[in-house]
Formats: sequence, structure tokens, C-alpha cells
Amino acid sequence: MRLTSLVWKELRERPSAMLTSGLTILLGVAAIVAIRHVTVHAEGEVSRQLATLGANILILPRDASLQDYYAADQSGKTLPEEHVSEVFFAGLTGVEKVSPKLSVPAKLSGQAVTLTGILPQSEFKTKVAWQSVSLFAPKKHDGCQRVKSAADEDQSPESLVKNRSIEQLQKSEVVIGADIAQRTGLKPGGKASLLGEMFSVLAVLPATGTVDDGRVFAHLHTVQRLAKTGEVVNAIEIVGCCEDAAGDLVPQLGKLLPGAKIVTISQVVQTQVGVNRLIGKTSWFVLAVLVTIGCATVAGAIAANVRERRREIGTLMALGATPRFVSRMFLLKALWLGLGCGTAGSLIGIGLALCLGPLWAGVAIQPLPGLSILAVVAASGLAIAAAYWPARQAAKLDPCVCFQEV
Amino acid sequence: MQKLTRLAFCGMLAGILGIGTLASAQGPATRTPELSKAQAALAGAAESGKFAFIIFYKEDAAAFRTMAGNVKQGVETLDGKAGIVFVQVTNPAERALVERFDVSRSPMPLTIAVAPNGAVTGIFPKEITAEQIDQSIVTPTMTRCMKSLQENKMVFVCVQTSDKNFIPVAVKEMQADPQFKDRVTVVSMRLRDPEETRFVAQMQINPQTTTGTTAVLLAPPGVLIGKYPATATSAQIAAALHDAGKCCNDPNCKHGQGAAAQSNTSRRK
Repeated sequence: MRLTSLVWKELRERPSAMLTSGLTILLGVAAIVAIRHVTVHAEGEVSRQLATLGANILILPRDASLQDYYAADQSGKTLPEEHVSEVFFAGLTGVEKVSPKLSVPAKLSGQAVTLTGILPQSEFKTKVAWQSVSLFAPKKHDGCQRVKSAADEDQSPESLVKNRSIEQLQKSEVVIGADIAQRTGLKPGGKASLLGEMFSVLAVLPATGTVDDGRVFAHLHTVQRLAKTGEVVNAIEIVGCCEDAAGDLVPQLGKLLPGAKIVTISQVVQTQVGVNRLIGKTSWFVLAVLVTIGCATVAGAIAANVRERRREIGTLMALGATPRFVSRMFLLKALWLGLGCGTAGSLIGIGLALCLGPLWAGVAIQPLPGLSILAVVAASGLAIAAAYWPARQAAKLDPCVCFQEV
Repeated sequence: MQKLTRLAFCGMLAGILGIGTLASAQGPATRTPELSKAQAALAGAAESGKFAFIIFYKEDAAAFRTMAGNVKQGVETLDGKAGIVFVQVTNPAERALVERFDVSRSPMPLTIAVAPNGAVTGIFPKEITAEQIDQSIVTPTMTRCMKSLQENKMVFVCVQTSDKNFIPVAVKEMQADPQFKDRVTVVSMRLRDPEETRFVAQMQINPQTTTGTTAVLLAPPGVLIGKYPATATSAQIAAALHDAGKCCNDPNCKHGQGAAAQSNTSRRK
């Protein structure tokens, strides 16, 4: 009988003991793989936000709480729209774009959507032109200010995703998010009825994986009129020239608008970074606990197995099996256990991350093959390490002593 | 006491309106009858070469009264260089003016200083000081530059040390370049023109050390791209303009350190 046949028979004949240790390995690997998938992608999302929105600033109502940058305008709290003009009139250095937002609930084709009012940049032409006044102001800028050039700006409606602002939007037009378009089947040029008014669809935004996918964007003044909110907004997003300019703008904006809360993207993601760190540290703690429990369980199971099978081991050795053969038999058993349960745990972990990642962390998860393979290899290695001592004990058994015990 | 204050304020307003009326009384031949009272006053101020301080307000509130009083006091010190125009934004008759300045959703009261050529030279929401009023009265060349910048055009200010109007070759080439020709305005001024002393100082040009013609390039919305001697080439100026379109030349900005190192002549304000 070959070594593999012996191990296979052993596993089939004594499944309960192996099931307990196998389940420990499976659950441990599944938990680690799921947690690491979520933390890795959450860290990636934070980095992406910092890279793409690093120079952005949010002006929010003072009592608004903020956990997600993209959902900043959904707090329900408002501030006066005139703050937008105040920002322009102040002639602050480094202000590239100002984008006020007001979000209200609405229904589109029977489905609940967030109707977000935005102001197209074309409506700020006059105020932007007046920034020349600050060129000759007695108090000189210390920072930078870009030359406005129409050529280097993406003016398509889809630029709303990347630039956080739109160049042109008529009062009877809407731009719809990717999820809404998919659910309603709406396409550019189509008609959409919102809050009792008919709009034409200007564009469908590409998917972003953020709450923006579930929004319908319309002209701010139209949304204010339909929702009867008055001249208010939920948030004003300022696109700074650069991160340094944004940093300098915060205290200036705080002074200009004392009744508002001014936050940078760095401050917003700081919370996310903190949560990610906590999850990361917790995952290592969980890993340590699971490794200890897993090793102890595997070692205990193999040791018990050795104790139960002293007679069989003695018989095998009396028939000519070498200590090395006996040792390899138990180690191979542990390897199969680690490999099988590790692989199953890894697949379950990926499945959990794919399902729960968007819900818990608000990030889209992609399987990480490297991490999964590493988890399987580690599980197998640990199972072998745990089985090493009992396997050695089995190999040291004296067949004569075994038979004397009978 | 309150009655006295109100009486004094009414008197003050009457005086202010008098200035506006005085401004609007000039040049009736060119005025169209459809103009609102404020539009007529604004047109009158422009025709007589005066600056106009337009005070936009929603209601006769304390903040408006304070601002109106401050503007009146400030304008009185300007030796007839400016007038005052009042615009109640809720008045349907003034809708055209409110839309022209796009102030219907702006913080009120709001004062906008307008040069005789139509350039906006100062914007002051909620409050205004005497110093701000004084700073709004800019030099003739500044008004021309501001007007062009507000029309989204680049401006070459050719600062001449002599009485000749010399336009550097590079500036002429830029004017002829199809890429820039529709977006470039050339303005000439004398370095030692006493009316332009403030502008010369703000451009940081030293009259003692400057010789020949210096071309100063300004770009919208309000960026001083650089100062160039008459020997500068159009390629140098175009390169500086290209760099200015990038973010940014601020030495503190990590994105702009490369650009800043490349261009020593350009300067950002």
C-alpha cells in the first residue's frame, strides 16, 4: 500500500477528528482572506481619493457630519447659496472651481433616486472674470493661480465624474448616474420625469463605484424651485489649484465663512485611514489567534490520532515501515488538510469580501490571487508545523512496546 | 434720537441720489428711453468719465445703511471722480442690471465699482472701507487691462521709457500668431506718467533702472505671467504662458517645482 493510499484511507475512516481541525483552518483562512481583501481595497480607495481629490475642499453646514466625501451633500443640513458668491468675491488664491450641491429625494420611473442640484461652471463666467480685480489688489497673492484656458478643460458632461463640476447644463436637462441608467434604461436624449417636471437626459455618467452612480444631476436652481428649498445648498465643493493651495485656503475660508465647516479631502479620508488601520491591526490579531487555535487543534488532532493508532503504527513498523515513512504519513495528512481547507477557506473569504466589501467599506473588491495563494501556502505550512511534533513522536514508537501494551 | 438718525439718513440718501442724478444728467443725447433709473445713472457716469459705485441691496436694513454711508463718505473724498448708483435687486425695473452683474444670489448689500469703460474694479460684499473705495479708483491703463482681462483676453502692457510707442517684435509676433491673435490686446503706457505711478509700482517696475520698452504680460482671470525686455522672443513668452497654464509655479507647491525651475522670468501673483 502506498503512502498516499494510507493517508486517504485514514482521512476517510476517521473524518470527525479531522473535520474539527479542518474547520478551524477553513474559518481562519476565510476570515483572514476576507479582512485583507477589504483593507487592501479600502487603502487603495483612500489613496485614489487623495490622488484625484487631494486639492478639493468642502464647505458644509457647521453641524453636518461627514464620513464619505462623495456623500457630503446628503446630510440634510443646508447653508445659504450666497456663500458661493462670497468665495468668488474674496478673490482667494488657488480657487479653480466652485461647485455647490443640493440633494433631495425623488422618484424616477418609480425608483427612488437622489436628485442633486449643481451649478454649471458657465454660470460663473462673470464672477471668474472679476477675479482680475485681485490682480491689482494692494495685498498680493502668496500662492499661485492658474491661467484659465478653455482648451485644456474637458467640457463634456461626463467630466463631472473626474472634475467634480460640469461646464454646461440647461435648466431642463439632467445627467444621470450609471446605476440609474442601468435600472431605468435611460439614454442620452431620452426623457425623465422628476418631481413633476420633464427633463431631457444630457448624458449618462460612467460608473464610479461611488454614491454618484445612484444620482440624477440637474440644475441647482431647478432643484431648489421644485423642492421648494429656497436659495440654499447642502455643500459647496471647491477644487483647489493644488494640495498646497487647498491647505492655505482652509483658514482663509474659515475666516470668510465663520458659520460653515471647512474640510479638506485629507481630513475626510483621515477617518477612513483610521478605520483601515484599526481593521488592519485587528486582522493581524485575528490572524495570531487563529494561527494559535489552528495549530493547537491540528497538533491535538494528530497527537490524538497517534495515540489511538499506536498498535497500527507498531504493526506497520514491524512489517518494515521506517520511522521516516511513519512520520511522512502524518505530515502528508496535515498537508492535505491544510491545502484542502486552506483553498476552501480562501474561496469563501474572497466570496465574503466580494459580497460584504461594498456594504461595509463602500469599496468595490477585486480578488487578489497573490494573497489567496499565500493564505493557502501559509495554512498548509502551519498544518505541517503543527503536525511535526506528533509525527516525530509516532516515528519514535518502538513496535515491541506497542505490542506489549496489547 | 432714532427719528433724528432716520432724518439724517434720509438727507444723506437724498444727497447720494443727487450725485447719481448729476451723473445721469449728462449725455442725454445717447441715452435710450428704455433704460432704468440705475442704468441711466450708470451710463451717465460712464459718459462723463466717472467711476460708479453700484450698491445692490435687498431691503433698507442696517447693513445697507452702513454701507451706503461709507460709500458716500468715500466718494466725497474722490473729487468728483465717482458717483453712486443704488439698485434694489427685487425691483423688476432693475432686473436687466441685476442680471448683467449676476448678483441676484449674492450676499447683500453689495457694492461693485465700475470704471467708465465698464471694467469692474472692485467688489465688496456686506461691508466696505474708505481704503477699498480709494483702491477701486484705478489708473486709466489699469481700467483698460481689467476690461480686456474680463473679456477673457490676454494683455501686453508695453511700458515705454520714451514718448515713442514702440511695440516689441515678440509682441507683434504674438499678435500675428493665429493661436493668440484673437485673444491678445496691446496697451501702451509711459513709465513716467504720473497717473500711472500706482500701476508701475504694482507691476514692480523700477523707473530708475528700466530702459527701453518692457512688455508685461497679463492673462485671465488675473495672472501676471511675466515681464519681458524688448529683446525677448515670442517663443520665450509662449513658453512662459504654457508653463502658467500648469499647476503651478508656487515654490511651495510640490506639483510646480519643476515648472518653477524652468522659468525664472515668469512670476505668479
